[in-house]
Amino acid sequence: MSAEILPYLIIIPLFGAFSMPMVNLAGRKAREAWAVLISGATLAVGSWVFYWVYEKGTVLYTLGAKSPFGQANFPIRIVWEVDLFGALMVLMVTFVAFMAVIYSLGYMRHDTGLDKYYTLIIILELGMLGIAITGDLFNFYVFLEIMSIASYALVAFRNDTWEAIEAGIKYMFVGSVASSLILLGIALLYGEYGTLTMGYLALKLSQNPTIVGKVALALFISGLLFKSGASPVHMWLADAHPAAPSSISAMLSGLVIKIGGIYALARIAFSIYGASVSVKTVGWLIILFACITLIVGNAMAVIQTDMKRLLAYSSVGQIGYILLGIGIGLAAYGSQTGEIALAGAIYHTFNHALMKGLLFLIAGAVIHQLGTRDLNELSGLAKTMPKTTFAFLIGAAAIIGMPPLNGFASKWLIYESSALFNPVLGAIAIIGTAFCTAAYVRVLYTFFGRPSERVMEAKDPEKSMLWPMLILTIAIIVMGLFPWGISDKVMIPAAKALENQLAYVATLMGGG
Amino acid sequence: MFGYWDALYFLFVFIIGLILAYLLDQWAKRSGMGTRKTGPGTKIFISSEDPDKVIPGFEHLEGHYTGRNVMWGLTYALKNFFTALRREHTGLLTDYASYLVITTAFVMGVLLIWG
Amino acid sequence: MNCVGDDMGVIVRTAARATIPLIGIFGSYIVAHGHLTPGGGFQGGATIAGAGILFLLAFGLDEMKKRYNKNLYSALEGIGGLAFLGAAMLGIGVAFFYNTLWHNGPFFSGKPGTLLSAGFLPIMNLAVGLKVFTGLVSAMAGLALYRRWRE
Repeated sequence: MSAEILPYLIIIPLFGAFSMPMVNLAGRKAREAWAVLISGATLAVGSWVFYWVYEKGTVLYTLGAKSPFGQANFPIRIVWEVDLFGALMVLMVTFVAFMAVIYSLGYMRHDTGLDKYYTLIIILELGMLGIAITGDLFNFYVFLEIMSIASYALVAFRNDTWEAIEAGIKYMFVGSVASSLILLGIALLYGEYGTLTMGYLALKLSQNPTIVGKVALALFISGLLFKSGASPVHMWLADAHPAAPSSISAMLSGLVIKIGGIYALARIAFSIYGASVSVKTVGWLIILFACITLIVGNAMAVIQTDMKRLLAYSSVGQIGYILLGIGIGLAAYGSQTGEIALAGAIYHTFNHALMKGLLFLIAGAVIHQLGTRDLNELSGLAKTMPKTTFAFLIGAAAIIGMPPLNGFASKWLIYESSALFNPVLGAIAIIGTAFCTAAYVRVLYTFFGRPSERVMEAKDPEKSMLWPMLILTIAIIVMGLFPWGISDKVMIPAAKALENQLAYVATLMGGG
Repeated sequence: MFGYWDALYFLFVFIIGLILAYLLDQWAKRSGMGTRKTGPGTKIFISSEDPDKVIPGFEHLEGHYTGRNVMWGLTYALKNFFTALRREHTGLLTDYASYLVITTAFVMGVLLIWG
Repeated sequence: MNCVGDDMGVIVRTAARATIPLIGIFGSYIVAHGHLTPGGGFQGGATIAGAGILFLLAFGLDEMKKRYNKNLYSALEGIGGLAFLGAAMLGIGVAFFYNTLWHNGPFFSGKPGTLLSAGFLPIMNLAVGLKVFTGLVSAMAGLALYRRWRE
């Protein structure tokens, strides 16, 4: 066993998505079983890939041949390169996507056109996995588009409301502009350096840094900041994520903005451009956007009355923390502070996927039971939906950063490193958390308030919706019990693997 | 070492906090404005509106809005900030696209000058 | 005018009868020669789908409903994708997307530039052509069927 397992990460979801129309002919049960089976198998492969990379180090897989080198002496083939950071993202994607698929069984029961829904949700997972494992810039763009187009369609899936259609169209238009910026950047790099393989591109860039490379980096950064929902360009997120079905919102907020935005940004900034631009400038640029994002996202969450919209703005705020960690990791490249900040960012990426996935699944359960997501009508849910409210309490406490839940450790790493790097940044991060706390206290106060008549007939959702919520809650609590063990064993090595551009290039070039 | 923390410490702090909260609650019950054993004076009023209070003429709104005004102090103090934020979130597609273009121009300018 | 249905009249229908086979043949040519000439599965499939769309426009939705089977087209689209994936997996022993037919396969391993060459590429072009044709026709039929505005 070696890297042979890696392509199955793509083959299994692709097979599942393509065979869904035929499985659909066998009826509803077969379709649901097939979706669960496919995403479960992908989870198994993803866990195996994570274990493999954790034990044996970076994996290189060449498509179409044994080695990435052709007749020439430089890599010409498409390669997939998975370091520990990528493997962690693979684990995160497969896990949360599996939960979302199980949740969909109950949540989407009353909708029609579900064969398309399951096809699209598996394709969305496929696109994210592809971004996490790829080592080729154009391959990255293809998977980014697969992911983005699947998410445009899924945002507008419930097209019986104009809200969903409007959000989907807005998301599609602006998202396409951002994608084309990224494509333009790739085209510029290809024209200038004649290669698309990330590791070899890094080599060429460091030998001969040009203005074109910087323009391409600017296009990448702005396009990927858009995809991750950083602040001046976060407004599509607050439209799109509440309008989607809740299982999709959980995937969009928990995974898509991380993989398509944060992961890709970190990969491009560190692994491609690490040695050829001034990392201080890029770092401070990202820190600037991170600070705006932190304040604006969390502050807008305070004044929302729509529950899912509040959660979406909170996602924007949490993206701010992750960007802050990555920015400090770049600006303080090579020092221990930078490494800790980067580890905190990676840790928070993983944690936030679990927490925001959980919170959106809960919002979906509430909508499923009550048909409303207006916070003014939801008072007193704790009386009639105790399990759901308990899960929400855990999720909210984790996202605020209450010890002993998992959000605390990651946020603590970011606070500590930002305070060491520059105390002003630490203060801004704390202010953001204050806003975040205010927003969630409002929701909790509503849930524990006096029940209104509308809430009285609600009850805890059925098993297929409750189990994913419970599993995510347990994952949050368990991860909170071993914060520094996880940090030392997984997150810091992942940050080291991301920082170590030389190893990334050497894995590729030494493969021949 | 960076970020030393143990879940056990939190448990101690949490228990101490619970005891403190209980003592505070007892103290408030004893020495708050409510010296009576029954009636409205016994209630401890933390924040928000009183869910049991009935305003004449507004009985139909009674008790459904418990979360609405919890952060009233914060939102009122930062009213200008929030108004400015709300004004920027227009929901217009053209605004989204222009923000994206402005961001791109800004990033490109910074990178070309200092990058 | 005996324009009772939603078709476009006898002139357009007659012209469509003449051109639809030609469009189909030209599209099939582009698909089949995908590995030799410009174009390939996607372009050829889109061209063939042009024939289907012309049929829909010229003969109207009612006629289209008789000839169009949603489940069949969905299944065909899935089969196209699966055939592509299967062709990519033929050489999984070496690597994903390894062109084993070209290197040591029993067929499609002729001299470069002939029709039966290039290993799995003709199979993939056919698969993609099938997928694009059925997908685009289904999309157009869906647009025609499920429009929500009144005339």
